[in-house]
Amino acid sequence: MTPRAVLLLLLLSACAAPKPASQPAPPAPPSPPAAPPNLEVRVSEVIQRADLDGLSYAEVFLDGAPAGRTDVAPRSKEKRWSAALPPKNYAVRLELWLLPGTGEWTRLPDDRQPRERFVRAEAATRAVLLLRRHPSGRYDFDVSKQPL
Amino acid sequence: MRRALLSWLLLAAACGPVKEREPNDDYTRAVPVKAGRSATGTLAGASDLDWYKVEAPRDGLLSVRLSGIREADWVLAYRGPDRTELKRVDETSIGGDEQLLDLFLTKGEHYVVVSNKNEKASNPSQSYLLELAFEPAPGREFEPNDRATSATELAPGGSLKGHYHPGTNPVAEDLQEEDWFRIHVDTGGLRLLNIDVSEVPKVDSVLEVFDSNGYKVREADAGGVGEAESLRNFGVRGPAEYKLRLRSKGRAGNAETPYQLVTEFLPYQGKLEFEPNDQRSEATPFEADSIGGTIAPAADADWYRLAAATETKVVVRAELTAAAGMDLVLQVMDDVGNPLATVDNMGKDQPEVLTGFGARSEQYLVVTEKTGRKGDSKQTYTLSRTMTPWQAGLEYELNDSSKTAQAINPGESVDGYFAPKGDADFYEFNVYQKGAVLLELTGVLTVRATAALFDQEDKPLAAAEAKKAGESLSLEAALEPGTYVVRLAPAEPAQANVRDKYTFRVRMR
Repeated sequence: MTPRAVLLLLLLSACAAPKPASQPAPPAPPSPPAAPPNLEVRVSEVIQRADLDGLSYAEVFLDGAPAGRTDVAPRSKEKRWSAALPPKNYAVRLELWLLPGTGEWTRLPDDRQPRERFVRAEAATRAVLLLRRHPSGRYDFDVSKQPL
Repeated sequence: MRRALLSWLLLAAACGPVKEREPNDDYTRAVPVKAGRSATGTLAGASDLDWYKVEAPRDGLLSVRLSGIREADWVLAYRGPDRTELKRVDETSIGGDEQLLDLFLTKGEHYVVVSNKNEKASNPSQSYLLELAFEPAPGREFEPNDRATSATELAPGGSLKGHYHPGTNPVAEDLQEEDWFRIHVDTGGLRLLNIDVSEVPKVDSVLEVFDSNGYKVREADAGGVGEAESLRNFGVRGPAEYKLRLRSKGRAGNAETPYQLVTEFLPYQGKLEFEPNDQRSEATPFEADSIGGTIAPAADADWYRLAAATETKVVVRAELTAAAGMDLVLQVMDDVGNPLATVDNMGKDQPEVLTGFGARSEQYLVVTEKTGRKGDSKQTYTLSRTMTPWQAGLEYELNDSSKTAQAINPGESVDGYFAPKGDADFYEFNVYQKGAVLLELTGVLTVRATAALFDQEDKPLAAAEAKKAGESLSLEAALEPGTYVVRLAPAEPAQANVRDKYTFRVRMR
């Protein structure tokens, strides 16, 4: 057998030999747990008649930029939005939207929207902004702090 | 001549008192006597009963007077056609006269019974005189009207006379003599009923009004002994029926002087209160520019409902005139009757003013007298109101706490009032860029103003006070971006001014 043939034979046998099993990939490092929300908004209305208790929600703006919206629920029910934010004093503006009995979602006029207020988000507490709208159009604001 | 004398004797016999014929101890042997005539009798024994059958030729009013005799303590009773006892009097003691007044008789036979209470009486020889006066009935009280079920009919707008007699009612459980009247309103709509009861010497009267369910809805008892009573602006929603009860406090009677019960029935035009309006559910609608009312009886509260549209903000100003002898208070209540504001800036005989109040869809103005012990149906107050669209730059009460602070932007100003007493005005503004903020407040006569600045966590940051009443003040602070609240208030809670506004301004330096 010529050396070339021997070499060829060796190469072929190497190809035919069973391949060793591949090593499983190492597990990915666990992702850090999501930070609990430190700013929460709760919006509701005082509704005097059941036929007025249609659906509503609130758009949330922080420092003038859209940040999300609350869930959709009847006007009298509390609707919430929350987020984990870097600690800061945020200008919070809520924009109320209503779904009338017939028609599309309608934004309350500017002069009937709640005014913008600053709410401080901190690392160790959750700031809860409670907004309640009265039939007269008056708003009750209340900010409380809860430990995280 | 003989014939003339005989005629005269017969005539005298026919017109003179009817002589009692014993035995007349029960109705079957009652002595007949015509209403309008008189009778004489004697007390055959201490337990003697003398029945008289009174014949009424038509409907009318009977008054009975029984003269006293020695040793007899009379009890005088009236019985109806079926002999049921309907009225009894026992006002005097031994030797005294007795009277039954204002008995309504239908045409036919009725009974008057004379009896004696003194077991030791023995005077069979002395005669008594029983006088039965009979008059037309219209315009008079109809006894017996001692219960609601036997009330005398009184036409709305009508009047009648009656007596506080007897002082006590021996057949009533509580011995209280009462006169009941029934007013029936056939037609629908709103009316006002005014009732006046004239004064009667020795009597301290009370007039009460009951609705068809028997609930007492009104009482007039402002007068004392020998004084009149008056009920004003009692609202009637026809068709309806009301009962009046008139009685003497302390059971003093007066058989000589009648009372006059006069009613006035007016269409309701919205310019007067509509009693009873003593609670939220009965509030008088306040739709005109002004409305009149009275505080009567003492502790009266007059509720007025003020409705406003909610599409636009409206500011209410209300003015309450004085009522002589009284210190009136004006309150604002919310739609469920909770107090929002109390205006009591002035004292007795002084007016009150509500300024700059943000109108809700429904609220109430309530007028009361401060002590709760005074009332006078003759002193009318006037409550007037103006409702104007709110404009930016005007205070919008209620802004009495940080939670209800009124928004103001730096660069803007607002005019407001330090009123009513105890008022504090809160304003809220946002700072978006770090910088110095200047707060300026003009002076107001009679008020020494104070200002306090708080951050969004209610932490006090700065404060200022005017040196004296009428002086302005300013407050400057370096602020980070955030929401801030300013509290403006008089230095003394008793200070207020409903006439002169302050101007409050926020500026960024």
